[in-house]
Amino acid sequence: MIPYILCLALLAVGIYAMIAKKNVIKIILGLMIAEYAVNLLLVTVGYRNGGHVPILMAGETSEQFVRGSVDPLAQAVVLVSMITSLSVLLVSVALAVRIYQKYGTFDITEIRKLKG
Amino acid sequence: MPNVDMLLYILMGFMIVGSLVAVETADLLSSVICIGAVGFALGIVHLLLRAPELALTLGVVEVLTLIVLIRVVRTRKDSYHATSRDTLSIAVVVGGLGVMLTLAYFALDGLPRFGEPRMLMATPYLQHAFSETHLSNAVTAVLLNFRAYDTLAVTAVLFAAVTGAFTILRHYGRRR
Amino acid sequence: MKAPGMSLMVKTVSRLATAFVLVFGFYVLVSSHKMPGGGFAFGVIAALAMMLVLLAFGRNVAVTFIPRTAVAVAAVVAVIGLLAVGFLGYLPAMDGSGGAFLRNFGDYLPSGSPDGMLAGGTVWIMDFCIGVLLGAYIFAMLTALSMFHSRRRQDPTEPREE
Repeated sequence: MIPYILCLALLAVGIYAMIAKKNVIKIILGLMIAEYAVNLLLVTVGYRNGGHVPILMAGETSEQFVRGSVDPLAQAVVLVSMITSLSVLLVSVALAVRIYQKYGTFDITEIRKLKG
Repeated sequence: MPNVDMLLYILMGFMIVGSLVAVETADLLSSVICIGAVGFALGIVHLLLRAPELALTLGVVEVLTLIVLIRVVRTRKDSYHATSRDTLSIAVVVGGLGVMLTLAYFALDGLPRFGEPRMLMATPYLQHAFSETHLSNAVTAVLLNFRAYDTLAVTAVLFAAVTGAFTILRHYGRRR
Repeated sequence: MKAPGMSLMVKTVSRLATAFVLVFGFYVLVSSHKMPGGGFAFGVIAALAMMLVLLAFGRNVAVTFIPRTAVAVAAVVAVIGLLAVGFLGYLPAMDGSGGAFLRNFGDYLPSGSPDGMLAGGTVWIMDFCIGVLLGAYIFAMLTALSMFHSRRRQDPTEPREE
């Protein structure tokens, strides 16, 4: 149960950064931390005590594989999510660069002051 | 292997501390580098959790992320200083997160215990991975054979991201 | 971005290293059926190699190495390959059962051995397509970002930073 709680704590740190911080870069970092936490939670749920990598070893039967492997579905989902989060990061970095170019600051309170 | 759990807790604690430092430090470059450290710790955690595929991909993704973020924040400081007006809002945020964590703690009973996955969907995948597709690697079999629709959908998401990035960064519309 | 890129040492080393990085990416791609790795890993590794060229030589030189049309053509070919795999799944199977979209029509292909390179019917075709597509997309986004960087520095109306 402890790994799940640690994952949730990491998620809380990410959400805190996204809500409470006033800097665009910090908000992006909070988004990344939250994504890390969710990915880690998924992989943790699929872990098996003493299990091995989801690759069929030489000389292993199908039944042994089913009983001995960790969850491949969670890993596939997380792999897809990792790629998606990379592209989300690049888009949000593009937004941050654009904001800096227009207002000269990363601070969202300054942006609010500049344009009503 | 009883030592895996302890190592896992240590690395997860390192990740939490590193994220807190990254969020709270005033220098943006330091916080980006802290995020890099957190990401590589996450890679090691993936290795411990028997997911080498994720560790490989995450290492490369992390390097790309770090390069992009460092080029964006070059020598720029977080100039915002918290005033007394912000104390209330931060307290509200922390209180809300506390409520969320408490509710989540009670919801953890619905998850399988750590180390004993239920694998309702994954069991048939593991059974048929080698006999039907001749792939030893079950993750590749799930990703590109059993759940190929997911992968096709991801290409659509990526296309949307590329289009969005080019729209945001386009040349025209910049003149005032 | 500084106009001529980085120093000569960085350029030489990155010219050598890029080849090794790409070879590692191809190894990860073709052995994905029995080792960790696959199309997604190849995509990000290829994007990293192109990013290395972009950083070391500067954007203006890098686009002559990696022309934009080549990246676009690669992405289009990869998408056509994915759709072709999808629609060829409508072929009825050898044992008489009907086809479906994205069905693994591996019974029509020479079956690779699990110890060899290209096993799994359509899986390796999709792996190649996904990898090329991902590399092209990420490289396109990185190029857009770096173009924006270099343009911003020349803009005289930009607010000065303290």
